[in-house]
Amino acid sequence: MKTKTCVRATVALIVLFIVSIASSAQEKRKVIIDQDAAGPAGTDQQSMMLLIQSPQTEVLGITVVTGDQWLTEEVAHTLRMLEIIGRTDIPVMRGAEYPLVRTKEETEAMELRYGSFTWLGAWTPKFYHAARELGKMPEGMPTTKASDEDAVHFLLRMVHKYPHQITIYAGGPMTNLAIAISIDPEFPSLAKELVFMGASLSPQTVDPEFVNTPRREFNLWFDPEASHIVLRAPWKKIVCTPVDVSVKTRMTTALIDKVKSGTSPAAQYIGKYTQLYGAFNYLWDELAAAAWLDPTLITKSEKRYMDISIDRGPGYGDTLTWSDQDKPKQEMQAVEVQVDLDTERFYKLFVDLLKAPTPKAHDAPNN
Amino acid sequence: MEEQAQVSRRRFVTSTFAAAALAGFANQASAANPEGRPSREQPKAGETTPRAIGGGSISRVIIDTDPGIDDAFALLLALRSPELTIEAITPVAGNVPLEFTLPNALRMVEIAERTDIPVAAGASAPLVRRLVTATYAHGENGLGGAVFPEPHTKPVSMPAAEMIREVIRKYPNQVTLITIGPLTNVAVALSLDPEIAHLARGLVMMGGSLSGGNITPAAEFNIYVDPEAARIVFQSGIPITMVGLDVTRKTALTEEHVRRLEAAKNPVSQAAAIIGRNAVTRNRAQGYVIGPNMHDSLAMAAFLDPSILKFQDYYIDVETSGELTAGETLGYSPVAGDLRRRPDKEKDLAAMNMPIRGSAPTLASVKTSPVLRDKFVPNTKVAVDVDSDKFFELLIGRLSGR
Repeated sequence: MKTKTCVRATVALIVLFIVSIASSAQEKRKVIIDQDAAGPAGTDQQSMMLLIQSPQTEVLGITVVTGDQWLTEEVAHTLRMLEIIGRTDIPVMRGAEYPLVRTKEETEAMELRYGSFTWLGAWTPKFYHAARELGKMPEGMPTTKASDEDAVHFLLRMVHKYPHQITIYAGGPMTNLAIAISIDPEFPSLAKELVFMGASLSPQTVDPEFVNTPRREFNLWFDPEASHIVLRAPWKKIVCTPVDVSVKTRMTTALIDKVKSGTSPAAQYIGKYTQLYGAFNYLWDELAAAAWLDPTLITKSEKRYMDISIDRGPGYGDTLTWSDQDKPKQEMQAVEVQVDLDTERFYKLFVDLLKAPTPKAHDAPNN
Repeated sequence: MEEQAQVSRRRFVTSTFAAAALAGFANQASAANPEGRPSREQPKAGETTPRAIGGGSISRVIIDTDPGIDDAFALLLALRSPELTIEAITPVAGNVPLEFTLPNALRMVEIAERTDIPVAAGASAPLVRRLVTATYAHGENGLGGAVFPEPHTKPVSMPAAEMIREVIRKYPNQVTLITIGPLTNVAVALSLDPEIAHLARGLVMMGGSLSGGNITPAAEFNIYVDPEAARIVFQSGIPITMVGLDVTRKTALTEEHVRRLEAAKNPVSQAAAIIGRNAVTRNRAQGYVIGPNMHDSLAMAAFLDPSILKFQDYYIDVETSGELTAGETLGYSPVAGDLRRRPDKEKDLAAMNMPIRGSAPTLASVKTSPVLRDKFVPNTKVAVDVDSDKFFELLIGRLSGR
């Protein structure tokens, strides 16, 4: 009797073990990270790290785009982050260096008329330097290099290789995605879904960035034409993490300290390089990544239709939304817009994932 | 408070951004940066012969096209021009949808027995707008109803934008883009790789107008279809030669031209004759007093023999947001019209004060209109006059020649 139970238990354990191996090998969720990957640390790097640290994912590659910083420095920060956490197997691709149509010069002319923009990313005067120069690299220079393939062709090649299987996670301006769509209009329908941080509807906040311009959000504002192209494209599913839900999160010293208590290189990197500025520090891109990893973190979503204004007035780049009853009488893509979240569980997932040891490179070569 | 908010938007460690360009991240900012980009050429006053234009030994070209009746003529002219090395033909949606322009381009290379030239499929729609076609002028099939067999050659698998970039990168400073359709493919290539603007020898376009449009009172068709793409191209820094309606309107295909094509027995001439005959008949039936303008062939001819045209330096920009004017090309020149300077003052165009302004401020705005540019820096050589007889001699002569 005892022996029988023991054998049964052993068999059950073995079966469980095999199943878990099989599922971890077969059911990894494929994702390409399209990111304005400013660094070191900060929201852009941290969101990518969450996706890499999660055992559920297979990060096929990181396609970088100018946004919070210039492309070249973002690529350097990303390569260095991957070196530090030991995941240099993940390819990093250079993407668009400039928005499609918007120029710095014109944007400055608009500021004279319409008032100043709080955040201009790579063009923010306080931090401005030429496109191919690197800013400060306190985490050290990378020794690895970006892939020879550019972002757009990597995106296209991957969705053709793994049709309907890849999630495109977009944490920055949408220039790369828009170029991919222009080259191959099938791109959106070949992806599994688009998950992005961007847009702003009606954020409840006293943050001066949004008090007078609640509809302006940097990622989609920086390249309005690209956002317009992407939001009008036939994705099978679109999930949006807007400012409205971002402002319900807070990055705090306490949270950083929790991560810092971990010994993994990822935790140490964040402990060393994450900094807080002023009163409004949010987990912008981290939430978009975490909500994709665990959708139950989001406690309320709404269906909206979404576009970005490309009219060159004061609203150039602002978020436009509609509901079923008031949307234009034309085909538009529904967007699942996140409204509310379980913040405590989100912070826990953030800390747990970043403290955990980084999963090893996927056995089978990705590309 | 404002400063705090500014920094808080995205968190990254950047108290002092040292200008450190280090190994592996070559400092090529000045080459790729549209702001304050140095002009490649010393601008000269008045009429000039563009350096980008052919005639030399280096005549590698990529033809970006939306055939199209006059596109077909331009393609056949190019295919009959031994001094050209046609590296690629990149069809784009324009006059008719891509599903017609692509096979039409393949038909032309087959007719000319030049199936060695790669044809790479381009954009099926403009960057941000819905496609407007010109079937009223080109017929549903793009060739004015002239019917040719289905092509048996296939396009290469590489997309047009990538092909444009590959070819320019492969032959730095040797490749001229000849664009005779909307500029979508070129804009996508430039967005992928802004440096090709400085690696290309130049771009000769059929497009734009400084004297009114055709599809709207303001806009010429190729620019109208994809104004955002055109703006990307004009602002890219690539040396541009613009052959617009100002000169193409002065070219008309005549009955006599068609007869000469019909009389010649080579297959290219025969194909051109069929398309030309249809087009001339169509024009007549629609009540026009002259045959169709040979817009695109004139741009091709501008590359083959610049002496057919007269050129003047302009700074060209494209209106993308006008309710009635989207797609209009605007030309600024300190030596044209009322702004003309005395000859002794024309020596240094770049030093000339030529403010380019935005629209007048509204009451809520600043006191003066924003000045987008202070100085005159030409980006385009605009064709301002044409010797039509000389052009048709080249066109018909080459098509009907042995």
